Amino acid sequence: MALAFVLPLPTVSDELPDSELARRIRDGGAEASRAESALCKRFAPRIRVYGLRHLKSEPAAADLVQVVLVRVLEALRAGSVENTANLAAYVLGTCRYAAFDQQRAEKRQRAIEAGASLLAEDVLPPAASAIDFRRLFGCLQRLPDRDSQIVRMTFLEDRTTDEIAERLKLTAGNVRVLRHRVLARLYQCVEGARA
Amino acid sequence: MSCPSPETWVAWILDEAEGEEALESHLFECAVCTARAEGIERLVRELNGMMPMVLTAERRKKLEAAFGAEVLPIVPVSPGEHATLELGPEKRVGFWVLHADVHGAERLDCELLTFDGQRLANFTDIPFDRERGEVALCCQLHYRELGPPEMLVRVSSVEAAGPRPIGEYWLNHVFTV
Repeated sequence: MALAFVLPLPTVSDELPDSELARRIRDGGAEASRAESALCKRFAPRIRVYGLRHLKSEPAAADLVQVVLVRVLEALRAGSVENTANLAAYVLGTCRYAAFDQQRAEKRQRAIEAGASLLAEDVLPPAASAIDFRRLFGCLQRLPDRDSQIVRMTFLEDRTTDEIAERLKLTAGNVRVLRHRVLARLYQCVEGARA
Repeated sequence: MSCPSPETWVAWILDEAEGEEALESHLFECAVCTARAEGIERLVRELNGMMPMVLTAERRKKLEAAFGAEVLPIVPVSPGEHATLELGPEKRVGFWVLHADVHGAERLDCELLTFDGQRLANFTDIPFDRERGEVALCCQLHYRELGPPEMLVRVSSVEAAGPRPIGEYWLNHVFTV
């Protein structure tokens, strides 16, 4: 303990490869807890975005992060991860199983809660916006007409891709491709304005 | 795999991407793409949660049913009229019902301007209630950040011969916070 005040503890760089973090965790000792922190810091955002994409809910994604990190750390401590050079694949695999379990559990929960929903979320005013509203509005206003229509019809008028295609005299495939492009541009506009 | 484009991450977020497994493998190896995918997911979530400025009949019904007349101010306005909508912490959402002669209209466009004619926003091909001859414009308390409280709304019918103006509405907002 006293030694720690005399000799600087070795730092765990964010740049260390996954396999080195895994080795330090498996070996235990003074470096293990810092290696665990670094590993959590590295993988938590990846698990979270995976969770948001597949589970469509912020609390469910947060749960997924916890569950996956605990499982991965336990496996690393026990030395049961065979190929630590490909730790990302192991984390992703764990993530897929955990998300599948969570989806099944949520399906059961939803069945219980069916009919108890009082108010659709989209009719409530936003309490706290994740993106600056004025910035997003400005970026939306700068879109060319057709792009703006695609965004509006998709997100604000709840139209299906086929309906949008018919309205704009495009194919459904075209609408999807255009929607990917316009959202990518919108993202860059919002992020650019933030920078 | 080199870093996929933002368009590809949009497709992944919308569940429309090809080669999802390969994309997810890359995501778990790349901090840059993780940040990109997070930003796009945030944007899509924001758009999904947004209330439109021009309401479809369905959204209008949902709003009316959810809030009730006591907390949802609804202000009818005829062409050429001035009207006022008051919003505050107790009444965060309200809407204007613009009456217009929409007989024969195939498509309506709507322009929002300041009282001295500076364009604030333009909406093409807006939803409208053909039977009731109404356009419902939604306003929320946080819109006060977007510009001046007075707004001129011009609605026009887009026809083969060109746009035909069908109404100008002078709207004043009072925001109390």
